[in-house]
Amino acid sequence: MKKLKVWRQGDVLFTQRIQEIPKDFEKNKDGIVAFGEVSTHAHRVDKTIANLYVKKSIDLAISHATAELMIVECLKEGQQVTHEEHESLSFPVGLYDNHKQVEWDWFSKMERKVKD
Amino acid sequence: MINELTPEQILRFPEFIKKWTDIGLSCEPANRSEVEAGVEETYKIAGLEKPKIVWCESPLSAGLTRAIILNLEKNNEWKEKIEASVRDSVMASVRDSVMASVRASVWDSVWDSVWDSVMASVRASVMASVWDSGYGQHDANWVGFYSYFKEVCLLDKQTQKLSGIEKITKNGGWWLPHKNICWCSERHNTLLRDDQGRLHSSNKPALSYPDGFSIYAIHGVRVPEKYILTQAENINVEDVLKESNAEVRMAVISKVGFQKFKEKIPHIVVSAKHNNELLEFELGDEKVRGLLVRWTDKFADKQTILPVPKTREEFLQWRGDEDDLPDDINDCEQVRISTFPGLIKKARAEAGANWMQAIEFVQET
Repeated sequence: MKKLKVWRQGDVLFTQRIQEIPKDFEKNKDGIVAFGEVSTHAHRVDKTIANLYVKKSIDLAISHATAELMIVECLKEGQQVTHEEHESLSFPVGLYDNHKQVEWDWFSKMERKVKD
Repeated sequence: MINELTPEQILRFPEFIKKWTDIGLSCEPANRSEVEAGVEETYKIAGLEKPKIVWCESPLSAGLTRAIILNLEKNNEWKEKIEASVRDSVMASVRDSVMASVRASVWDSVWDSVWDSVMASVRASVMASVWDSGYGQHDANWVGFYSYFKEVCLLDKQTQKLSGIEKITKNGGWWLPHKNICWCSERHNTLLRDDQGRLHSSNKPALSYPDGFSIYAIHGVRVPEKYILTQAENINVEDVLKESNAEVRMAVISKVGFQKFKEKIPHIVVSAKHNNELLEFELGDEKVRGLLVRWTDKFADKQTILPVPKTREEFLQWRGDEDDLPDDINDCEQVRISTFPGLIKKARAEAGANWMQAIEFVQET
């Protein structure tokens, strides 16, 4: 059985299943994968050894709020994704797709991104 | 050119870290005359006239007063922000002068020791929780950094332009410089932190200013005032579950105590796996489900409750795609994986029939 590798850093999770960066993605200069509104902590890409790609048409703030897919391109080995509270993630060189945790709003009956 | 620090100079790092951290965290009233002297000196260095100084009791009231006055005032000169010329340009000028006088390795060594240490204690824990950019005492990290070069490496000339800002940093809070007018704020008079240096108090403001402007925080997480000023046993736990921010939910649950929290709300454990539990709570007439997830980060063991759907219909509404639903909505692990959109469907495709076992959180932090 083929196993799916998953890397987790708090409420952010990465899998390795993308072969190339889609044409509708562009490099993001801020390098923030997810941002905590209350704690102000961030899941952050070390731009010296990795790049963050986000969908071209979507504003980054909306992208964060709606848990849109982002892609981390790891160019060199090292601690490519850091966070103030969580241990840093070290990936082999390659592309990683990012998934953000969501939850269910019992009262509005809608999905929402886990806000932190 | 300073090529390297002497052992005696290196030994003075802790002294500067302590001194400037204390300045950054000081709750003493501002020394107004010293701040005013510093402002005057800084304006003079920038080639500007001495401004009118308006004192406020907190950064909030300074910001509000400024907004009101600038809105009323027809004199456009007052509206001209000169932060760039009096603060940023001084910082850039001093940086260039000091950099030209010391080797990169010396710069890095002082940066790592003084700048980073004070930054971690002052800016990261206090400022980051309160505002985007800061002045006065919260500039302690970078002013302390250059102060080391001035006092220990005797780079007087190179750091001369900093003297006014150093006075303000040592003696007061925020300052908002405009042409001809400068709003200055008092320092905070309460500052409570946990052993990790994060803003923290479970029963009073973690940070407050003389005019009452306060920040409430539990282990660095800003929470509504009501959860701090209400005793743990009187907190309405249903309100906590309704909080839309997971960090706030977790912070308040930590104040109530997780066991007490669960005891207060009738619930059953639907299933459990990997130290996580799928719980069903009775909230009034309604039954809702929450995923109790536990993990460990750099600081502590943590746990929180993520609201999740209770019925297959709700899951479908959540996902919008039958293929992306857990096979068993009562299975804690399947429900946990379903909190990451798109993963279930992908996992099935990747791993085949036995897909639930194929998921591996190989590096969970």
